[in-house]
Parts: sequence; C-alpha cells; structure tokens
Amino acid sequence: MSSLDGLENTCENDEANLTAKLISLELAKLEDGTKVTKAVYEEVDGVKVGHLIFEEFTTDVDAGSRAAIHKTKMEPEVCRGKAFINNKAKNVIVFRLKA
Amino acid sequence: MTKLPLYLLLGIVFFATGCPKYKPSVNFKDTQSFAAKANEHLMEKQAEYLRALGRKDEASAKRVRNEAIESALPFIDAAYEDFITDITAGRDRTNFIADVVELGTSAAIGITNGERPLQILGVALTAFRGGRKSADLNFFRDQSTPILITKMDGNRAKVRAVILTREKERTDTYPIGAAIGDIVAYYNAGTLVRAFTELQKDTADQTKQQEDNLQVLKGVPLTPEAPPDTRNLSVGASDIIQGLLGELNDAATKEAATKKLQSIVAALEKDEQVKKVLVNADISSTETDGIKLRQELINIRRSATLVNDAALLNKINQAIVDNGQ
Repeated sequence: MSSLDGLENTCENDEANLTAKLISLELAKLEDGTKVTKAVYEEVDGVKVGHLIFEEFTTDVDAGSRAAIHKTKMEPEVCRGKAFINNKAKNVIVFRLKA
Repeated sequence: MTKLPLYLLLGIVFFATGCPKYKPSVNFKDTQSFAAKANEHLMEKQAEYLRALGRKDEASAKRVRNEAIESALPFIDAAYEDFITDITAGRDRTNFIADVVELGTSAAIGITNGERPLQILGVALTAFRGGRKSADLNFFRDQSTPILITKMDGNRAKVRAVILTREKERTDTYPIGAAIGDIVAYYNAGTLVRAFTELQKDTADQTKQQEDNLQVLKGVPLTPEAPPDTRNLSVGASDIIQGLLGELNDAATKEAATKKLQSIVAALEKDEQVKKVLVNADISSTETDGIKLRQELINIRRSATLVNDAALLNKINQAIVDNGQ
C-alpha cells in the first residue's frame, strides 16, 4: 500500500464487496518475500460496512487515547494491528464511522 | 486589597513550575556538586596512578585504578537514587524541553575546563546531548515512568558488569582513562536519554525480528490498492444493498424493493458475460423473490472479490447504483 489512505480505501472496498466486517490487520509475506498486509474479514449482513477510519499510532498509550476520543464520537474501535505502508511496518488502529 | 490576588498568583506559579529532572543532577559550576567532587577525586587518583606506573608498580597502579572506580560509583548511585525518587514522585512532561537546554549549558561548561578528567566527562555529556531530537521528546512523553526506570536500571547493570570484569585486567589493557570512560558510561546509563536510545533500539530489533518471523501466505489472491472512485462505487452499492434489506422486510416497501432488484438484474442481463454468471446463480429479472435476488447479488459480489474480478464487480456495483435507488 502506498499510503494509509490507500489502505483505508482498499479495506473499505473489500468490506463493501464482501459484505463483511474487517476483523484484523497483520503483517505477512508471500513465498517470494513480498511484504503484504493480511486483512481478515467476517461475513455479515444487515450492517452498514465500508465506512472506516484508519489512524497510525505510536504506542499503546497513544492508541488508548485515540480510542477514547473516537468513543466520545460513537465511533467504535474495529481493530489494532500492523500494516505495511510503503514497505514499512506501521501500527494502525481502525474505527468504524457512526452509522 | 488589590495585592492579594497578585500574591496568590505568584505563589501558584512558584509552586506549579518546579523544575523536572532529566538526568541525575550535575552542576559543573558548583565545586561542591557531584561532578566537581568526582573530578577532584579522579584527578587525585590519576596522579597516584601515574606515580605508581612511574615506579613500574603494576599492582599499586591497578589497585589505585580500581579504587578510583569503586569510590566514584557510590556517588553516581546516590545521584541516581535521588533522580529516580524525583521522577517517580511525578514529572512535568510539558516542561521537558527546558531540561534539554539546561543539559546543553552544563555540558558546554564542562568542556571549557582544561583538566583532563573533566574533559572526558564533558565530552561524554556532549555526545549524548548531540543526539537529542524532537522525536525523542515525543518518545519520552509516550513512555511510562516505570518502563524508563526499568530500562535505566538494566543499562546500569550492563555497564556495572563490564566494569567488574575489566577491573581484573592489567593497566596496559585497561588504563585509568578507559576506567574513567566506564564511570561516565555508568553515569550515562542512568539517564533518560540513554533509556530512550535503548528503548528505540529494542523497538527496532523487535520490528526486525517480527518481520523475519512473518506468516508466509500461500495461494491467496492479492487485493490491489483501491482508488477512491472504485471504493466510492463499491461502498455506494453496498449501502444500497443494505438499505434494500430493510425495505424487503417491510411489507409496505417490499414490492418496490423487489422491483429495484429486478431492474438491477435486468441491467446486468444486457451484458452477455454477466448474464452467464446470473444464470449460474439461478437468478433472472423475472424472479419475484426479492430476498433471493438480493442474496445472490451479495454472493456474486463476494465471489468476484475473492478472485479479484474487478471488471465484473464494477459492472454489478454500477448497475446497483444506477437502478437500486
């Protein structure tokens, strides 16, 4: 992924087309060594999907602060994980926009 | 009467802006301070050491060198304990930048003194002062005090172990200059700056190890990065599909929702390739079961996503957006 926005668009696109919810983001690699981000989804129905907020965080304290801020906006935390952005591992926290 | 609020304000400012500590306190200006005492002591020991070497008395030189170390370390330990007590009691993280400035000034004064032991100490302090970056300040604010103290304790223990090992060496392999360097290293190991460096190094090492141990994926389709217009079309179609579920479950809107779904399928049937997919899914525009039409459209979209059939997805999503509203 070229950017965090690119990752967000891609996961939202996947959620929408799979009719599924993002569950986790993990670092992974292909057999040829290519670094990839593994996104796991769970099929759902009757839920509005594809509206996510991706943010990069530095530490658990930082992630906790971000979660607290979004909680006040009724934006639940979807997951905390890692993703390759421009081949560099980044900590990413994801929230779902208020329906 | 007008003076009372002013006095109150001054009092609050005085008590609320206590200087947070950044490292064990060292004041090169104060001859009674830790650094001055340590340097005075080291100079005396260095002179004694050189006299012993001049007499070719290796045993005495080695003893003096080790005494120089072992008598200096308790002062560093005491300063460190005071420092830990202070930062555990509570630090003002917002005033942290002021401490960096103070540290630079102290180091500069250390360097201008021409005496050798002081020069060594000064150079060491300058070296880690030069490593300060704004990123470090943010890193500091993100760390909890117990983590930093644990890291400093660990750093000090490592340096102490090296000193204990090297004290057994002869003076030609471990001269007093190296010993003073180790004393400085022991002091620096108990500073927040070194704690930052070590913690950042730990993080980098962990990241590398994590990357080396990554799960290897086999036989999975790779999703290309979705451009914003593709994402918007997909999410728009998804929102409509979800909205249709509510309409199908409401007797008042069920018929209209079914007609919308039939229109979507009818639009897709105009494309021969998509029509084959619809036939495989056993649906057509004449189907009157709206729930079935909707579910099969969801299933086709899921299957197309899993095989990265962007062209099919784009056609289905466009038909949903054009006919489902």
